[in-house]
Amino acid sequence: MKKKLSSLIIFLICAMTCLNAVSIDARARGNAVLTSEDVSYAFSHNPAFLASSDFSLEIPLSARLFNASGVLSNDLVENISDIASMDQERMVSGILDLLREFSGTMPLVSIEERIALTLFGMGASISASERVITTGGSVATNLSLDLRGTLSAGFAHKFDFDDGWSLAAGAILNLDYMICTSPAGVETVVGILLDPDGSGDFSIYSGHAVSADIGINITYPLGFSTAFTVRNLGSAYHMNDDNGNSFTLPNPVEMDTAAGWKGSWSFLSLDLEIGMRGWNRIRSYPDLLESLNAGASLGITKFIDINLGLDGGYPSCGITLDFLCFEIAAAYYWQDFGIVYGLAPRDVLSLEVALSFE
Amino acid sequence: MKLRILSTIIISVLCLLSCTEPNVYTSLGLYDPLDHSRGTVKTVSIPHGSSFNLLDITDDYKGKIKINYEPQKDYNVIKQLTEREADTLIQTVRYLSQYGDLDSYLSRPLDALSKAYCNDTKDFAYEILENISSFIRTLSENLEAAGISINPDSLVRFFEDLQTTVDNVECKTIKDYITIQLTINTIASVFDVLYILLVDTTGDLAVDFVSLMKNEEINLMAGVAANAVELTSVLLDAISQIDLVGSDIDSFYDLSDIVEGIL
Repeated sequence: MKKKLSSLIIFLICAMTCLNAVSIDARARGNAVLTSEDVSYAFSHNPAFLASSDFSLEIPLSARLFNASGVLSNDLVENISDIASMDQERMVSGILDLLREFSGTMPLVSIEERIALTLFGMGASISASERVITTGGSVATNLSLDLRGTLSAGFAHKFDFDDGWSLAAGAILNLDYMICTSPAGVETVVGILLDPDGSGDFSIYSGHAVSADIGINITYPLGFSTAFTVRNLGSAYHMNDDNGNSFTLPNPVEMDTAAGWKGSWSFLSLDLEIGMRGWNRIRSYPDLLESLNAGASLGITKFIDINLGLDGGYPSCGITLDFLCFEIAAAYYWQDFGIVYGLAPRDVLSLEVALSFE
Repeated sequence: MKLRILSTIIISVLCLLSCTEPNVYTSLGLYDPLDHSRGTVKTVSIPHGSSFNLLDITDDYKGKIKINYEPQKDYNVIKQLTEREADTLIQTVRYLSQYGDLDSYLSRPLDALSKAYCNDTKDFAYEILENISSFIRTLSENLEAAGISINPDSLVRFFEDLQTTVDNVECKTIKDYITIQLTINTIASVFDVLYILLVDTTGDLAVDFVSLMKNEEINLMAGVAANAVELTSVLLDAISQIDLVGSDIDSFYDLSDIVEGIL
């Protein structure tokens, strides 16, 4: 029994530390990458960047550990080397303590994978993400699994004008598929993990959505640029449960805009941006604060980028190392999961390993 | 130019590091989430003679076990929080404990009407807890009939501890108010745990699970229960999504104009 529970804990720890990342460096920059002209962000932030490179192939794997400081200071995690000798009650208590750190609906850990190819303005991407989500807090804590896959294809074109002006515009069509389980009590989850043959009382929901993203990026002389994007144009998720009942989940349209500036001197480069994310949904003062973001990326040679950001008032930082076709990005940032904005800030530790050819 | 940009970045980083809270706006006093996290307080009227099922606490209850409870007098009970309200309360308390002055908040006095409702809820919780032994025995017998054995003693002891908590509540401050609120929810939570562990799973799985736990189901339950007591004592306990008093009680009325801002 202890061995199985130990295996479960170790599996969770591995899942957490096998860090992954889709656009991890974007998170480090406060998601302020709308004007970056980096093809890496074409599918996640601005479709116009499909025209930024004649050829690119990226295969990133990323992982994120949410509420990192709380999880890493947990008794079970701190004493992982002694976990085999722990008594059962301490283990249960440790698991509940760990889950109590979350208090609300928020991810515990997520892993994301993607393969993206762009060629002369055309691009295609297949991505997947797996998340464990917590709901509630201690004895009533529930866990659910959320698996998503996205197939994307798009096209962009860049128009170059005189005196350093240019305009790039692009569009991407996304087919999203989602499978999620109903929240189940911790004991049920543990029981099913211990006994894989047990079906438990999970309900499984699945559904799809077809949506489009469009983006424009305009560059001006002296390194200035502006961008505008609209994402999730199209349908909501059409879901079905395992009893055949249908319902829809919203997939709200999000409009982002940003202004940026780039400069370089010798082996240094600097990329600055300030923007508003989801400005179409601003209804109140807190919405406005949550919408504002800014970021900076300082490039030291072509191999190292130091990233800083502020997204919805929460700071972020990270570093990206680029060596030949290998890219490693790490980011530490804060994200809010409050029912009221600002009420539940949690820190997130993330890491991405990618193969990148451009 | 280069030096100016670099120095601006360095100063910005130092400013961020000097912030007492992760949110810069909150740290600079431009925004306070507590101004927006106050809910409304509602009560539920439970007339003497009405009856509800203590286990009728989820929408997918399968009706294998039933424990009816009839209150001994009329009560106006502080309504159990919904999942969203509970999450807001937990997040608020946690936020105050990390970044604000939780003690000051919890020691704020209740107004007269809030005290009255707090006392009524305390009486109601106390009455349930006084009778809990008979509930547990009924539950145990029903579970036994369903082929699942539990030792009711540890659960009874847990509820006795909860009764001590209720004894110490004076209904003078917000802390008393929240303690009573969480007591009601904790009672429901423990039944929810029982439900999840022994009813929500199939019988075979429950038995397998118990045997996998080396027949130490009571230790597991004790761990969960001890955790619940601890969480209640620090007001960080999660609240179950379930409605203890069920849908039989229909006379809601809003106290938001009287105790606005208490949560």
